[in-house]
Amino acid sequence: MVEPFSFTGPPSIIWVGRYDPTLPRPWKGLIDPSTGWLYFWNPETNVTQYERPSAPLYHHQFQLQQYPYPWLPRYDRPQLQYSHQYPEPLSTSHAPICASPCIPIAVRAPHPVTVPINYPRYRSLIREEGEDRDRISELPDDLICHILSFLPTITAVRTTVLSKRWNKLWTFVRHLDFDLYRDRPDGQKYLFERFVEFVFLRLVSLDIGKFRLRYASASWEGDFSHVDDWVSVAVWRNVVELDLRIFYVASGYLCRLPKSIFWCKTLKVLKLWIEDIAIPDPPTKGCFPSLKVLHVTLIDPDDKLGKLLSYFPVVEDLSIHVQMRYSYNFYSNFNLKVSTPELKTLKLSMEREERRNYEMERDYGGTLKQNHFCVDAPKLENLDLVQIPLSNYILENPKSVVNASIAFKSLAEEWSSFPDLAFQLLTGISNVKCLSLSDHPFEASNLPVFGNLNQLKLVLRNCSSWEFLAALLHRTPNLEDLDLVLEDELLFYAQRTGGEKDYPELQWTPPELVPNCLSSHLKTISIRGFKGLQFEMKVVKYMLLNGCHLNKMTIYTSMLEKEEEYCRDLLSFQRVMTCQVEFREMQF
Amino acid sequence: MSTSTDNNASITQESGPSAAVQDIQKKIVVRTADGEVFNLKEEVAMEIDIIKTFFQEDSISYETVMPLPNVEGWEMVKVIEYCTKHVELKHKVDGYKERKAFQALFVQNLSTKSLLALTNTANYLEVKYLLDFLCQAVSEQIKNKDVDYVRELFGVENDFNDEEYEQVKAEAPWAHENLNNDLH
Repeated sequence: MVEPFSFTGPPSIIWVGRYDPTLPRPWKGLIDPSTGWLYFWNPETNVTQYERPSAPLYHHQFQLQQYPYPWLPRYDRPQLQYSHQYPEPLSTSHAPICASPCIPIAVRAPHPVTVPINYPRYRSLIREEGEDRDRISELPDDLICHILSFLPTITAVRTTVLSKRWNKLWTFVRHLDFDLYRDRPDGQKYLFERFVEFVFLRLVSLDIGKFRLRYASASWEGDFSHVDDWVSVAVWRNVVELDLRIFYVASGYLCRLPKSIFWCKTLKVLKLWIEDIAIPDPPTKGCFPSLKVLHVTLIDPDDKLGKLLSYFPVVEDLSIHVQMRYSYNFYSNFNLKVSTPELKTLKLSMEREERRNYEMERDYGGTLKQNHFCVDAPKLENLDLVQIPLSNYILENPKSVVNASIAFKSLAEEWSSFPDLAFQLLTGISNVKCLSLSDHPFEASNLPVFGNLNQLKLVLRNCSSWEFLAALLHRTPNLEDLDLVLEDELLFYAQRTGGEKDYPELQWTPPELVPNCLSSHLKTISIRGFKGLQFEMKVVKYMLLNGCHLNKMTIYTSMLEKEEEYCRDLLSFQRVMTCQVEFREMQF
Repeated sequence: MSTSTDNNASITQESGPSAAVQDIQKKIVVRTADGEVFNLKEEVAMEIDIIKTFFQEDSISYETVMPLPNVEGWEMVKVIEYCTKHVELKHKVDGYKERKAFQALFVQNLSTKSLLALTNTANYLEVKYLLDFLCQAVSEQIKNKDVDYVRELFGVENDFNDEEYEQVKAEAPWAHENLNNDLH
């Protein structure tokens, strides 16, 4: 049976620099585990060197004698001696764990070392034939580590007490998840920081897959340096996905995004929550070389964020969520220009904390005109807009979009121009194959023809939407799959009170001409939120009657007990024999 | 008009926009440890990496029945169910909610032991998204439980004596503090 990894040996990377006041910030001291030599790394410029970086002379010369690693057992602590004079060139006494006594005279900086430990991947070991299959106790170690990877790190660390075998299993975990408020509800930041450092010290896996951090910073520089260090360690260990959210607990100081993420070569996914965080200027070129996925949440953005997206040259999946709080500064504006050539998926959404105070609404009107979203992405395939005010939104090169999902939001300020803007937007994306629309407060006459549309999903919220549906069906000649979601409060009340006749707008009149797609292409229809009302049945019967190519109709309803009734009703239709109608319980 | 029943992987797929009425896809046959034979549609079978490499890299014809000696019949049924749904949802625009609802239903009636067995199977069959989902489900189960429960769950025997136990706990004191009800 192959042992995929060994448990013996000290941790592979010792982080020396944190407690070394003689090293200038942001330099860190590291031990090369294969040779034992001490060398220095600058996370902001990615320079490694053997020579100690020049340090400023301290006014108070002192000799540091305390052990910088109080959490390690005494025999494990490296014996560090610091000179009170200006640091001398490297000699053996400076190298804590030194296998060979040779003094390095190399001038060239060493490359970061990867120790060839076979840390586990998710593939299991090959089983032998005839082995006794008692699967529970024989879950392979790598599978257990994979399961532990999905836990918050503090929970994974706690598994050390389970048994001797489990004692060190957590150190091979590849995803880290630290959350100050979840892991330490008592808010003791000092202990949280010690814990994070402990984890980094003991972690054996050299490649971190995912690093998630939620941390609150106070209003002084030293506090924020922890985040800088931790992100640097993650970058050093080839992090692939980074998820950062830093709360600020006191105003007056802006935290800064750690600079070490800019040049990280392995970073593919970045998720940021930007709320009062300053974005430092990136290096002029070569930053974020492999970043493919970026999800950003912006709270109360200002104009400095407008050029944020120029830093990400190869991003393919971009999602921006803008949240405007009511304390938003009414006079600042921002222009967000998305012009990344490789962009394939874009999601923009906007959320405003609205007050029920109409005065506030008027004030928003003033600011609205100053925020602009400009999207220029020739390869864009998937577009998802959620409640973006249309007057500030420009989409260049929209013809490549294949899937689009638009949730409109009409604002009082835009009422008059809304239909035109919507028409403009929809015309731009009229080549789509799959379209999903909701909240469309405009007339159907303002719609272009969607020649390529295969799949359509519509959320119908009020009764005039039925005419909209009919008109839209006229404009989608090649439609094959229709998905309707009925979310209508009025209908809900009507159903409750049972007085359908009291609501004249609930009567549905069939359109004069049968839509082309219904008679020639439409194959599947699904209706969610069916309530069994009279006119809903009328619509269903109309579709069944005229849908010559209809294969399957699926109706999701929360009232399955009435299924018998519906079935009997529809049985009277002969058309039903060639089309399969199915009633399912609505789960969502 | 009656509700359709999906109980076997060999039923024809519900007609979507692209499928023709006649199902002309090739079938792949596998046999599990307890002798049950399954006919898989090609596109579902190709989601299972171990089957994919078996047939594609060695260019074995589809006539061969592939043996899966480490997989039980019921596990195969579940794996097929998940892979079929995954293939179906791949083509949909807005399948997020549907996927979540399906996942909740998938693990609803599984005992923990079956869940672990299924995780092992997914690992062996090399279906990455199923493995990730099942590991996530297992980790949800141990998130807020105490030591004894987790020991029983995984069949782990406590081989620490009291002294060693205290020593292990003392290595990372803040991690073991009684903060939530978590593994304490």
